[in-house]
Amino acid sequence: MDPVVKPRDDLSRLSYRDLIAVSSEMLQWIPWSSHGMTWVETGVFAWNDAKLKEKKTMKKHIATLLLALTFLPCVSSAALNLELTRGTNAKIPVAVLPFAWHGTQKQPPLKLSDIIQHDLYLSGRFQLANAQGTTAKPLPNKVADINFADWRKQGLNSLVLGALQAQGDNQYQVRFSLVNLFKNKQQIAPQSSDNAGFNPQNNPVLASNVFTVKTAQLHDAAHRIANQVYQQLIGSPGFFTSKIAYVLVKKKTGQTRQYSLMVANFDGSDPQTVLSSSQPIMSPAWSPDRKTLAYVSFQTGVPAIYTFDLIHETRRLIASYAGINGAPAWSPDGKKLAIVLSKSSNAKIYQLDLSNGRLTQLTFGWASDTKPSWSPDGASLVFTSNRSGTPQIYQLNLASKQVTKLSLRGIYNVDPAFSPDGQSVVFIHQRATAYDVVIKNLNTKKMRYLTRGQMADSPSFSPNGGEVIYSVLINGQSRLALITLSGNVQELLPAKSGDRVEPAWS
Amino acid sequence: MIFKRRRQHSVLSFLLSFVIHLFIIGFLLTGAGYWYHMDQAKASADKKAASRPIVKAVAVNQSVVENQIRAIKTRAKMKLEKQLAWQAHLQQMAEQAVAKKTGAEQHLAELQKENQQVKQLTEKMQDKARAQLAYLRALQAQAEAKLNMLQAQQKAIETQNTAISKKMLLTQKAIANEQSSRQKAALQARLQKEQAKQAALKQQQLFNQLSKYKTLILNDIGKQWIIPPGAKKNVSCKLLVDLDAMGRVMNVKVLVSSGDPVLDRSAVTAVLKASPLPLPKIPALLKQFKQIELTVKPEGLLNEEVNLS
Repeated sequence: MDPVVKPRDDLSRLSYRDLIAVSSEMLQWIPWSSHGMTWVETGVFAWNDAKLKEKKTMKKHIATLLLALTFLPCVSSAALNLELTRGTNAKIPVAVLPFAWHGTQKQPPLKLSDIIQHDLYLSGRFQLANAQGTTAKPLPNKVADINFADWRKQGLNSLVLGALQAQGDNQYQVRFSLVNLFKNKQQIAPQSSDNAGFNPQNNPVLASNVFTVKTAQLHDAAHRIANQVYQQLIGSPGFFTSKIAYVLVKKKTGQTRQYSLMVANFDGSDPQTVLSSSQPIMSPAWSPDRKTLAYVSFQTGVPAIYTFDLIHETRRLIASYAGINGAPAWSPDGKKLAIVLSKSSNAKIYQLDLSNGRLTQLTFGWASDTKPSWSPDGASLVFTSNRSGTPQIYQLNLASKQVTKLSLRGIYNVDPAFSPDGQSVVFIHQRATAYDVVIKNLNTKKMRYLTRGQMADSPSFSPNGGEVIYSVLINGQSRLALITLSGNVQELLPAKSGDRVEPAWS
Repeated sequence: MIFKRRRQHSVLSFLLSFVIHLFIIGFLLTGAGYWYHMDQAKASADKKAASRPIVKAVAVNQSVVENQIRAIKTRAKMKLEKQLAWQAHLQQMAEQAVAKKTGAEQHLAELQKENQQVKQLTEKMQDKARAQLAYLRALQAQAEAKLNMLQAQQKAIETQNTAISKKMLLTQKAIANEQSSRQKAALQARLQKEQAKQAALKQQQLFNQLSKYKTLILNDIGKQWIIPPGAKKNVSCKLLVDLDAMGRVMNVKVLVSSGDPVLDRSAVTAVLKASPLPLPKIPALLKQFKQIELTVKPEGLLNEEVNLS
């Protein structure tokens, strides 16, 4: 029997009435007995069936909708969101290419690239590559000559290149460029609408400059270039034009010695004698404006503190009290000197106001206190004292007059120096037969060795707080040495004869 | 018998005795005996000489003799001087040899010292290299650990998937064989559930792949990122990175600067240096990696998550 009603595909669209109609029609043909169902039951069942299917399809739709919703964030915005929080503290790979030389002589008067390379190396933040050129492939000295892909393959991030040109008898023109090897493939114009943000990698030249200098200033020009390179790549000012002051002791005939107060470049080059004497000179200290040096001299037979104006080359007597006058330390504002006097029987630290000569005693008690060093905010002093029985490092809060002990280990801790950021103090710590430079973080209270197994003395921080200069006894000679805080660069400064002691880094 | 002699005062006997005494004294004083003895000796010597052969004596010129003597003297002098000179030469050679030896010893000592220093330096560098290697290995291990976890998840998903597929197949078979519509409905319901589960598993799989490639990309960029030493920890910059289908970085823009141009540049350089980035092969996922919005925040170093003891 052909069914009257054609089976509909989508039973879910049927209404109740339809279903009743269908079922009543079907009832005529369905034998009652075989299924044992009343026509009502059949109809209801068919309706149930249809509704169930409707529910199922609805469920399917809802499910797909929900799934689609979960995908929405990923599908609706075009970009994938990532967060990068961890990187490396590796050294930046750069190469300093030999500067081109344009002049009548065969060799340039000074190899500027060597000085720049040495400076960058001493900072401990750069991985310097040795770039060799061949006649077939000479090294570039203009930005236009650089084959970026080639240099990138060597794993370098930046290049320093330049040229030195002789201009007349005593004059030279120095130009240099610091080039970033990584630039975008597509150069997007800054004004284009496609450029939602700015595109810093469009111009590869990070820094470039031209100097015109005399022969004597060539060395300084190289240091200035190194400063600019450092500033661009690290973000803080370079310290390669900074100076150090130290005492040079030379043995003369018999027991006599010659003492000289020396000022040199931070890498020990170009030392200049400020003054020389057959009587001891000690404890040079730079004023914050780097124009004056304070020092202790025994030239009158007894110790006295003087200041030497480096520009006017004049000397001024500051303190010559009875007994010890020593260890001058400038306050950060340059108006006061912390000095050690023993006029009241024991070595104590006093504050001398330079404008009116007023003396204020800072430390009290029976012990000997010496070697003061100011914090950069001028609020406290660190010094060495034997008030606990052995020499240890203490910190004096100038406002509250409270003294706290900083060195907690060992029986001999001397020569403290505050870091420029005021977060750490560096001093000499004795362990067994070695006197090592250690650094203590004032916040974490952790002490860390910078040198190991050396005979070190009088450490002083660099202007950017990244490294320390100190005097070390090697093979019977006292020499100056540089060490970075990370310890990855340790360098002895060149020294011929004589002992170099008590360095102070401006 | 004792003769009684008449004492004769004889002057003659006195004179005679006096002369004899004088004679004897004179004889003694002048040493005539000595001379006589010498004469005798000479005579005997002459006699002896006379018995020897006669030497033919030639008369020689005085100056020639003197010259010869002078010549011999100078020769002897020269010989002496030569000997002295040779001795001096030998001494000098001996001294030079000693100096050379000490010089060589010093040089050797210096070389040894230099060697020692170089050895120490190489040891230091080796130590550093070893430390760096260990650190990189640790990094790799960490990344691998993450990826392994994702891989394990992927495997679990796949086993679940196969199980579900099997179930679905059985259910479908059962549906085909089932006559009763009620049972059929129940089986259909079950099939729906299984299908839904399979769809969910597929979603999870895609999500898993997404995480995997996100991890790989962040790892690659992080390895190249040299954080500037002065960078503050609470600043961040946002970059927009355009990639092509092969993962090559086409363009990097700074959408939001951190305020520190050196930090921005370090991040951009890291992204460019890490090119080409690893991308998934599934097209559905690949199209999501066309552009990446990268927020860069210097929170710490890669190895700080790793315990390098």
